[in-house]
Amino acid sequence: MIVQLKDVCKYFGELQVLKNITLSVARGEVIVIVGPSGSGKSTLLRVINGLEPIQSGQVIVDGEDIHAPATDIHLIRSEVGMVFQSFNLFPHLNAIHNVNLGLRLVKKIPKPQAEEKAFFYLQKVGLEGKEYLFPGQLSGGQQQRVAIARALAMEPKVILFDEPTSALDPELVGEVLETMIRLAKEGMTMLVVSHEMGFAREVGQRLIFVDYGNIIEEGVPAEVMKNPNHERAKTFFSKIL
Amino acid sequence: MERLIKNFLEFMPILLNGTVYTIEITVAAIILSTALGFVFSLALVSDRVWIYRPVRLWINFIRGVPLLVQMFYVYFVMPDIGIKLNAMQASIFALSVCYASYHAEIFRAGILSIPKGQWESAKSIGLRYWQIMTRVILPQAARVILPPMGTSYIILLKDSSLASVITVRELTRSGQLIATSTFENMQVFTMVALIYVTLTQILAFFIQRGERKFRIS
Repeated sequence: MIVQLKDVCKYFGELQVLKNITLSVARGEVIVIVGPSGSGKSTLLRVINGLEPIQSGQVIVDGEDIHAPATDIHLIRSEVGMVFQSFNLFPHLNAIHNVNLGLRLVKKIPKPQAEEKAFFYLQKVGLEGKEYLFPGQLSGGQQQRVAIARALAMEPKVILFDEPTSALDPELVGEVLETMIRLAKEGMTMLVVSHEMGFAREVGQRLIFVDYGNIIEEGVPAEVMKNPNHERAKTFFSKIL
Repeated sequence: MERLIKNFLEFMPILLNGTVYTIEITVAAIILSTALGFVFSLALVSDRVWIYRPVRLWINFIRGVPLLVQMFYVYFVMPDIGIKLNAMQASIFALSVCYASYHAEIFRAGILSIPKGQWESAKSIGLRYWQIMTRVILPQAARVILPPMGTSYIILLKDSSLASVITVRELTRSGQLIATSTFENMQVFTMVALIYVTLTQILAFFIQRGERKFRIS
């Protein structure tokens, strides 16, 4: 198991946003997480690399409890990639430097090799020729692909995608999804919060439906979409499919 | 006219001598107040109460005391508790402590102007606090920080004239001394004023160059 959540509870003040979440992610698995807004699906993703603290339970990444006193959370994060809804590229750095910053500062790879790697991963996401452009000079889809290259370059054990296409113009969604599908087919372990049901059907191995901080549906994507057990999931799918 | 020139030649070396002190005080206080202000700002943006609360109180306290009074305090009161500084040191100390409070607020505004997503994405690739601060946050915050910081440096330069009241023979004090012995008030203080304008223009030039460096394409 690459990621394990055990009885994870998370509160924002009085409000409990995650209720005893237990979840195991196997190496190479692609899990799509859906749910109504405010259901806790993004939070579920963000507790995995410790961006959100939890109140009880355990988060285990590749055998290490990320909250154990002996664990270096920075090291864990360098092994868990994350792609955000709003890209969050560093606007003062060009594409190459966005991708190789972590390589140089975290992995301590010398600049020439880090640059080479950055070129490789930018090419992999289809951005040849854009290496020296700044985020402000790229389209949303291109920015998100730089963000994916930034995560990939760290050679993570798993990548978390937090609504990676929600902020994109409709005609730019395709290029980002294509990149993600390619990754999934190459065997990358991925947890994807997204309402792109086409993506879920094509490469998702498991679909998880989160509601009020609980996982209420779990299974093969096509089946869960067709025959959800809960009324809440039924109405949800009837609206987005 | 002849008298003007004769006086000018006589006063200028004395005023320039004072100008050297003014520059020394200003440069030292800019460096110290900026460094201290930055450290304070890190405390101010901390989410730990025991870190930010004492610094917040200190800054509010210092901001409430006039710089002139702070100068008197450092020069005349601190020796009573065993801290003896000469006039030059005392003026640098007072200016640095006073301006550190302002600079902390300027840094804080700059740091807070950077969206949370920048912190999160930097964290998500494994960067540590200090790396995030120096490689991601500050280079972007510089755009917000530099304009008010530059203005603050210019005010600091002019406020260094308050050192004259604790006997530092900087530019203003030099002018006063010439004026009281020659009664050439108009010429002396005009010269003093023009030297200050020259100094602030030079400082403004460097600030603008700094601002240009941090413009994002």
